[in-house]
Amino acid sequence: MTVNPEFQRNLLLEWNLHRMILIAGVIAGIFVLAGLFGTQNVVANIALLTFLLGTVLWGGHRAGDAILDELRERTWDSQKMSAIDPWAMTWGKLFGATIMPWFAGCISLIVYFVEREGPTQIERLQMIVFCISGAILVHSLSLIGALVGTHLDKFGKSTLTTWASVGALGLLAFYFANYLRSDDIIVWYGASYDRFDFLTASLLVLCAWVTFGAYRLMCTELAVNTLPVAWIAFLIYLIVYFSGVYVSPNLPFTQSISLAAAIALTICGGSSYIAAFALYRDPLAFRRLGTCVRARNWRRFFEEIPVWIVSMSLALVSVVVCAALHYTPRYSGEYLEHIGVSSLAIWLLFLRDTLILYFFTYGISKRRVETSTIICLAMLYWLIPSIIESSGLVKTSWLLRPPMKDQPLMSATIIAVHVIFVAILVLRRYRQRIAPARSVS
Amino acid sequence: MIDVQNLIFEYPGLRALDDISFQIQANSVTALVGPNGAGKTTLMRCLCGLEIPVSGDIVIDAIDVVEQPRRSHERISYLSDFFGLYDELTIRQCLRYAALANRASGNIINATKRVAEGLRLETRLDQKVGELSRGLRQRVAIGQAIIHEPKVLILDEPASGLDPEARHDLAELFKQLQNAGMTLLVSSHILAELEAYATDMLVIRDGLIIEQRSLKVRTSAMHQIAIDVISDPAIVIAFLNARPEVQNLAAQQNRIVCEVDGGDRQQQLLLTELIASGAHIVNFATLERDLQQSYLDSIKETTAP
Repeated sequence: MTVNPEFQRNLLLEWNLHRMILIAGVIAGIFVLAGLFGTQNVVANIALLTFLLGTVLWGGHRAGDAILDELRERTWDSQKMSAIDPWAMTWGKLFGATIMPWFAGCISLIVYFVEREGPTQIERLQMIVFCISGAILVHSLSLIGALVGTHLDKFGKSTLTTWASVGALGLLAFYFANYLRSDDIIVWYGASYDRFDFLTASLLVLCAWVTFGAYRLMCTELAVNTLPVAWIAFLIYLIVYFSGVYVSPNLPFTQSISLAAAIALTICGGSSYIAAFALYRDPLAFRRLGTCVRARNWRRFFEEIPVWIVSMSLALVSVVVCAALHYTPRYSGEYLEHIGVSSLAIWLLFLRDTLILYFFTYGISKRRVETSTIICLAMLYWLIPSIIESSGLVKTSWLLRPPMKDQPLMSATIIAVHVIFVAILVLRRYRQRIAPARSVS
Repeated sequence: MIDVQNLIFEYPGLRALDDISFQIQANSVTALVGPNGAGKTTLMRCLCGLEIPVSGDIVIDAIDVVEQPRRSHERISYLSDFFGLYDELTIRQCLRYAALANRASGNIINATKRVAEGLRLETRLDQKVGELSRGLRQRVAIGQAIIHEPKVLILDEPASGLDPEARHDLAELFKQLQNAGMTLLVSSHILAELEAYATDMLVIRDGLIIEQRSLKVRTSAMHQIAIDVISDPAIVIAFLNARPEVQNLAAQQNRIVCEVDGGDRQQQLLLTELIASGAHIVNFATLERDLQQSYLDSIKETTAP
């Protein structure tokens, strides 16, 4: 059996006796001190804290650096051209670059298991599974941030990797905070589950999805062409997962579908925002898509299509479902009564905002595109309508912030005008800056 | 070996490769030359599947690079102008990693040994790469690129930053790789050094291929002749000006350079008649058109109004 060469290379760079002794010595020192001044449970808690700092945070940093180092050392091109398959490259980096943080983590988790008093062995093991999946989740998200950042400048790379890690830690904190809550039951699709069991399972599945996401991004980087089926599957998973919190077998079928469609709109719309803002927006992607259409190369077309368009398409399906059902969920608040027609206005808002992002993407400056878009959106959603409203011109302010709750149809019409206006601006800028292309001289 | 058809590559608002087509024969060493910003690096990266063109076909060893970039990587190796190495690893570890990562055939230890010997690195195998000179680092990088015996080796400015001795070694290495059956595409600004090993020349300018020619086959019957005299060059100039087969005559002090339409027999006749006319000739020699001259001619032809 051949050992993954990427993992081997990382071991050669990261793993040595000197570092092992140093790390083991420092951790042992911390636990001895904790043992001298505290109880066994204090030592166990310190062990969890050491795992958080040593494995989750340091490991997250190292996982991102596994890609950023290749870019800094200019070795990424040769890695992209190597025969290492994307999965081997993903786990080779994910576990090879973080080998020392995992070494520290293993010591911490063993100490936790031995020292923790109170919970049963199974409960302690469950906590260990929770910690390990949390760490892998953070490492994978950091790797994703770095992979996405390969197309950005130095500033963009570090910003994105940092945000990916912060996002991962936020997710982890969310799970942990839920775990600490007193009520111990979660109801999902009408069935009751132990809170910690449910959260551990959720975290495990999410960890698997995020690691799979890192693998799919690695496929793109290593020129393995893929269709966006994994993205669609992930969105469907999220819809099914979150729908379980609201939908129960007691609800009528149409109401359940209506709720699921509203959740789908939120998830797909939100994911289209995240994908459009965070992922690399290749200015020439649409030119290549045009070539694929002319050549009737549909497989290539779907391989190259930006994933935010996939999300928007799925969101449109949920708009159709919402509009078709036009149903009032009994307990979901007054606003959802109008989700049927409002969903179209919401979808158009997603589209308008993404077009604004592309308007700045096609601009002269490649920097601060996202910041400019956010400022523009803040003005459109809040600042200008608020100023107009405060002047007493409430109905005029509807031109920018239409009353979607009370006048869904009118709102959809106004936002559609926005979309057309911004689309014309984007198209003009695209023609000026991207096409027609001229020769080098 | 390499077949490019109607390749178009664009950067936003800029067409870097403008509908170019060319072919490169197997087992050749092609010099890719052109001014800065001509599109050389972009073309090389497209050939390697590292950049996706807007349209066009690239076929290398019967594999469509645009459609199957991953498969094509088994046949191609690329060394960029700013290549990187793992400074903390030894040469042996670097070569071993490259062999494993590129699935080199046969025994990995033997492959490492073979490449190290070919690059004269066998005595330094346990030295860390970070401690090596630029020339030795270049050799290690080439070693990593060729360890899996690719059919095509693409090198972007491989000689930049090397001293004359290291450049000579590099030229020898390229000849050796060609003899081993590899096809090489090499870009460089130092044309004199490309001449030592290039068999073909591909001239790119403003994203267009303006010329592709073989450097080993004379394309016309015109031969450039240099004639040195010890005195009275005017006699020779007058004589040559009267000859219909002589063109583009230029004189500088006692050296006259002209182009003669005809082969060896024609040149021998011309020399006999020149001596008979009383010219004091000390040298009569055919000038090989060097790469620099070929390149400048190509550029001159394309820029001429």
